[in-house]
Amino acid sequence: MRKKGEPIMRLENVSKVYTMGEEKVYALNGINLDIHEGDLASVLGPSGSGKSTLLNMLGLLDPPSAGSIFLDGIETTRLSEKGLAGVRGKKIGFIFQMFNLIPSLTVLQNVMLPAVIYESDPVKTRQKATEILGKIGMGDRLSHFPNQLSGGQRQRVAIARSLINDPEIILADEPTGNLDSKTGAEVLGMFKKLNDEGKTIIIVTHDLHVAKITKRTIRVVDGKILK
Amino acid sequence: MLTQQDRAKCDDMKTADVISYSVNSLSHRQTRFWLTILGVVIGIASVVALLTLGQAFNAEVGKQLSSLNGNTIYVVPIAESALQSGSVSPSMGYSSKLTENDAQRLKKIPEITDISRVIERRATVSYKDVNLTTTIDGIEPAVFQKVSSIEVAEGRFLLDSDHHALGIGGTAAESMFGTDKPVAVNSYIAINGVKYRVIGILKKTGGTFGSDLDNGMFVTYSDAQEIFANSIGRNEMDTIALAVPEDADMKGAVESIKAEMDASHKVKPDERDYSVIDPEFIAQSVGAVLGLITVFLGAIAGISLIVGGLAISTSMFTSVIERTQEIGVLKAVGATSSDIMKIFLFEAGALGLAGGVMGTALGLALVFIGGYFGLPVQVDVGIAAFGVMFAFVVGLLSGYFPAQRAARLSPVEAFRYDK
Repeated sequence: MRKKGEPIMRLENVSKVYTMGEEKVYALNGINLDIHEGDLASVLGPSGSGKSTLLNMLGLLDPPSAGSIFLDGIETTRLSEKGLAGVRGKKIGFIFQMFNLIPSLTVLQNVMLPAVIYESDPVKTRQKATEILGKIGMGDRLSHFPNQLSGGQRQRVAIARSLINDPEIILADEPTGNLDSKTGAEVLGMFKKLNDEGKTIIIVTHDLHVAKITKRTIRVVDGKILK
Repeated sequence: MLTQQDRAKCDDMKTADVISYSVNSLSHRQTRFWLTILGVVIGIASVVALLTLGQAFNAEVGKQLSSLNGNTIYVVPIAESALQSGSVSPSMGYSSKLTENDAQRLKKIPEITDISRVIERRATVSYKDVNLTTTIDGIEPAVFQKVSSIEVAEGRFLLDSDHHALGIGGTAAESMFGTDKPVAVNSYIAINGVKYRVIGILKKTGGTFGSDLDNGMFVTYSDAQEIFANSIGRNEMDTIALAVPEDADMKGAVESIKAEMDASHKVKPDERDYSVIDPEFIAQSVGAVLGLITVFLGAIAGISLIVGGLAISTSMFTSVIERTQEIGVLKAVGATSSDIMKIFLFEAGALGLAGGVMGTALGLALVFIGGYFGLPVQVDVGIAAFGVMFAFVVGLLSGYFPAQRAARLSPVEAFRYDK
């Protein structure tokens, strides 16, 4: 259990090594990182710097080759595949560059999905999803399918989906990468607002404009965090 | 905070949610859905139609067999071992002899009500310049009529007192000597050069088992003895037909007959040079052949089912590849590998099930259409249920490997795909 003042997420000496033939490539090399409650951080770095690998570690999508990752005081590297899936569903909200909505589900169903997997009460889930979608201006698109929405609308739905389980951390991978500048600015405004409401948000980007709105910038170069 | 419940969670998605997700997914890809299940529909339709027809034929044959006087037992001069092993049929020739002595002994068995001796041999017959060789049955008219449900269409049936008279089957009369030379009552047919007057033409039975009455030519037993004097002894015969009452113990009667025959021929049970053919033996032999044909046809239809299964498998593999990122999202938002497995497995099973339901309906429709054209119709709920369940299982099996592949994808691999 996390003690007061301790970070929500802590990475201790985390490395990720890929073997290419006989050569070992360090995508991450001995990273130490604390994410505190209420952080609004951007992870910046050029292509191949390791920022996507870092996002995978933070999202518990990929196990580290070495080191420990603590989420809410629990060492996640000791969790089973099922346990990890549960923690991801409940504690982490994901937002992707390509939105990654499920094409066969409506807007409402897409938003409800993480809660449905988490065995929540379907009536409450529906109410909550409708409420969140209303707040982000998608209340009149509940029964639309993703292919009937614009890029900006899809990203709003993705944001709503990331919020449905009240996660501890929201991880966004290039969330404005596929949006025009105006829509991108709107989406960033939403992140700012969510952070003001207390959400911890980490945005992986190579866009310096995005980094400007965050409280903290984590620079990754050659698999290491620049101090 | 990570609660105990969180850690313990991750039970899998509820079945209802898996079903709902899969149904959504399938209904979103309707064109592929229909194309995929087409193979299963055709496969199951063929299996159901062929099995149903096979069963209807069996029932029809059973009906025909029962119309062939289910109370008649035949004794033929063919070794029992040869007949049972299927290495000979009664029409292939005889390995021993039945004698008047046998007939007299059998007559004494209490269960036997009538006994009819038959000489059945091939002879040359001539009618209006047409010569051919055919089988002539020498019968005892009065008893033969009792043991073989004969009806006369024209003229009358033979009498025991008839001499050089002949009864002819309906089909034989119509076409044996050519359709332009039908045989009429009171015309003459020469058998081995001796003229026989046609005294009656039999009604067609349509039956194809047992003695073929429709294609037969019948003379009295004494005339047959005269015709075949060179090839069969005065006291010999080719078949003894025995009638037992309807309520008689058929097995008991067969045992008594065998006991008498063993004593008469002085043979042990494993050396029997004759065979006793009871209705059950005929039914079993015919049933075995029909069963084999049904299985054979079912197996051919099964091949199209395998093709249908492959179609499901291919479609599911394609689906897994297309939906790689979707699998990544599902895993990111908390779905376990077993959830993913269930989703894809259910989709494959649903494809099979839908194909099975439609295929069974189509198969039965084909059977009814066949019925319209004279094929026997008999719907068996068991076959229909088997069709549906079989298709479901084919779907599940075909979907197993694609589903396993989907479940094993790591979220990172899934997101990296297509990027």
